[in-house]
Amino acid sequence: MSPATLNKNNADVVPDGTIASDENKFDRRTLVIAGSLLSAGIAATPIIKRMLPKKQVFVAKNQRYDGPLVDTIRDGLVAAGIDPTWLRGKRVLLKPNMVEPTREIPHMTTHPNVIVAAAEVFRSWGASVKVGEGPGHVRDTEIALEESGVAEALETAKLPFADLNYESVCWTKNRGKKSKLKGFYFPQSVCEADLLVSMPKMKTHHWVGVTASMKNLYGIIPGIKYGWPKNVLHHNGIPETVFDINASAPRTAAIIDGIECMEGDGPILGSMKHMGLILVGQNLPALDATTTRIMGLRPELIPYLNIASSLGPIETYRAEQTGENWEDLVSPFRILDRPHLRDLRTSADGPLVT
Amino acid sequence: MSRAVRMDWNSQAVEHLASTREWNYRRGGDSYAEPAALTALALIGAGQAQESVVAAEWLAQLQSPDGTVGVSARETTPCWPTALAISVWSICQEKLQDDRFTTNIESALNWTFEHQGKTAPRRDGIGHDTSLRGWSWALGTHAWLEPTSMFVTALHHAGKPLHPRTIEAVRMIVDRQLPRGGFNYGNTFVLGQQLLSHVQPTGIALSALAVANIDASRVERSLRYLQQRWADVESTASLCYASMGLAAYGRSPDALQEKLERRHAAWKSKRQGIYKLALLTLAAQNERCPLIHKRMTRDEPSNA
Repeated sequence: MSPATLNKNNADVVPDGTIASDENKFDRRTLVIAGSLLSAGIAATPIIKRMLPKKQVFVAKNQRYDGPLVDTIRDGLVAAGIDPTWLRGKRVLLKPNMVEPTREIPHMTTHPNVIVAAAEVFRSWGASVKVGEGPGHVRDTEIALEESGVAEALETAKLPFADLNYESVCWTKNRGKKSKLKGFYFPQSVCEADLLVSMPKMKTHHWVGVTASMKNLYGIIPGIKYGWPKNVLHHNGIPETVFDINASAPRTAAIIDGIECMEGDGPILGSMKHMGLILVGQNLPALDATTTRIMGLRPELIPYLNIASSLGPIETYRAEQTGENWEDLVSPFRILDRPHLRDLRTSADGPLVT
Repeated sequence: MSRAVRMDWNSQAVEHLASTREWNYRRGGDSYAEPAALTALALIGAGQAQESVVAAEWLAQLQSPDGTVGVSARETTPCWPTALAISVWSICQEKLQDDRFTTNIESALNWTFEHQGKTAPRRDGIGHDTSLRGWSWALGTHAWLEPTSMFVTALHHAGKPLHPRTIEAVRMIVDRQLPRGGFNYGNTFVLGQQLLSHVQPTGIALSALAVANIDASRVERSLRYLQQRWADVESTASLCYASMGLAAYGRSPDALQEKLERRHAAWKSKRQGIYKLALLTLAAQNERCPLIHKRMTRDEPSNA
């Protein structure tokens, strides 16, 4: 068991890779004992389950883009263990999904109202907030902002935008080491952030099954170093590089836009599925695992979640569910009728689309 | 708007480009190779080849011993700006009627011909021909539309239209055209679905194909796509590349030129970087834009 070490923000990095907050501290002795028992292959016993630390996952239902999103997000962040007093004076970077926006497919990208609501919450806690994105499929970030509607929202809310594709970069060692990449060039805004908030859209993905808060962090990789698309990542394994980016990024949290989602041929050309959800968490694997279950898919078969255990748990018993119970919210998403995707469904008669 | 007013914003832009030494993407940011190259080309197109030498020489200073030009002075990789540098040096010395950049060009060409995007046998689920060689964004990765277009344009500017790599790269670009018209970053069909077209790569691809003498009949769908889309585009870079792509085939409407002036006003009010100003200036040059300049050599056969 590796000892806890300090990251650049002087927070404790727990051996499973998450940042300990006041609400999420664990007993090291407990973890050592549990870890030993896990190694001995008796992980599933009830006593072990109770000993292992849980990660808070918050889910709100019946959400609307013109509803009280500020309240929902505020409640979610607090329920997920964020300490508002810690945020005073901190730099928060909100990272929505604007991979390839077009006005014809609004459910492809994070809704501007969710971004602005999140910004309002963090600002109310005294943080300085910036929105940043490095679209992977369009080199012209301005058109991505225009087509997604984010440009207008940022101007109205007086929120600064960081084009992550074209900033100066800093080199960060690969702390995940699942891929062969020795490290990553992160844009300056990412390097300077005290808190990076992944704000994805809840979508299916035609290669890896699901794209949520972990996969969304592909967008912090700058195109000026990696290209459009960021092929260096694909060539080194999508699951492995998703893991490594998440392991190497600064402190993270996530707010998932699950109101109007994408099913079918995600992440670009799928159809809209209304869910009305906002999901919040500080532990991205746990949050994505819950999201995946709600979508009627099996997180342990999503390649980048399957390897994510050192960053966070994906088992249900390791998630402390706040807000709504995820089991009541399950509504299977249609996925492509392809061999590598069919088996991801929790139910053999889950919906498929050709 | 009168032609005189139009000229005025353009003259201001050229004056600004000639005086700046900060070739940045955003105001106050570091200098990068692409904005520098576009600045040099814009000045050449404005009849100020001598003023372009500063930026052209800065690109020469960026050049590594292996012939490549990286994205900036600090970042020597990736090397796709090598294509833009070849264009700048070739056109600059052609206008100045000397050979000051010949060594730089030759070194860059040597690297260009030795490297290619990663190819693969064709496979189900991917619509384009993955075996065709072009150029990639980053070394060791697949060939994509914009870097390949930049290199095709550069190779024509450097007098290499008949090199086998040039010819194959033109085939690659044509292969990436979407059936409904337009181009994107370089994918056509994935898992049975035709992907979306985007304005900027369409403009860049059409500019390159025009330079390569590809007949309009082969890209008519893409020309129509741009003609239908440009009026809705509220982004400077995409609008400028749309303008150049249409101008390359003699199709740029007057109204688009008027829209460029409004984008220039937005550039000023938003205090944006040199990259967009250079693009606006190039786009305003219409068919005189050096990026779509066809180097006329005797007996140059058409690639149509």
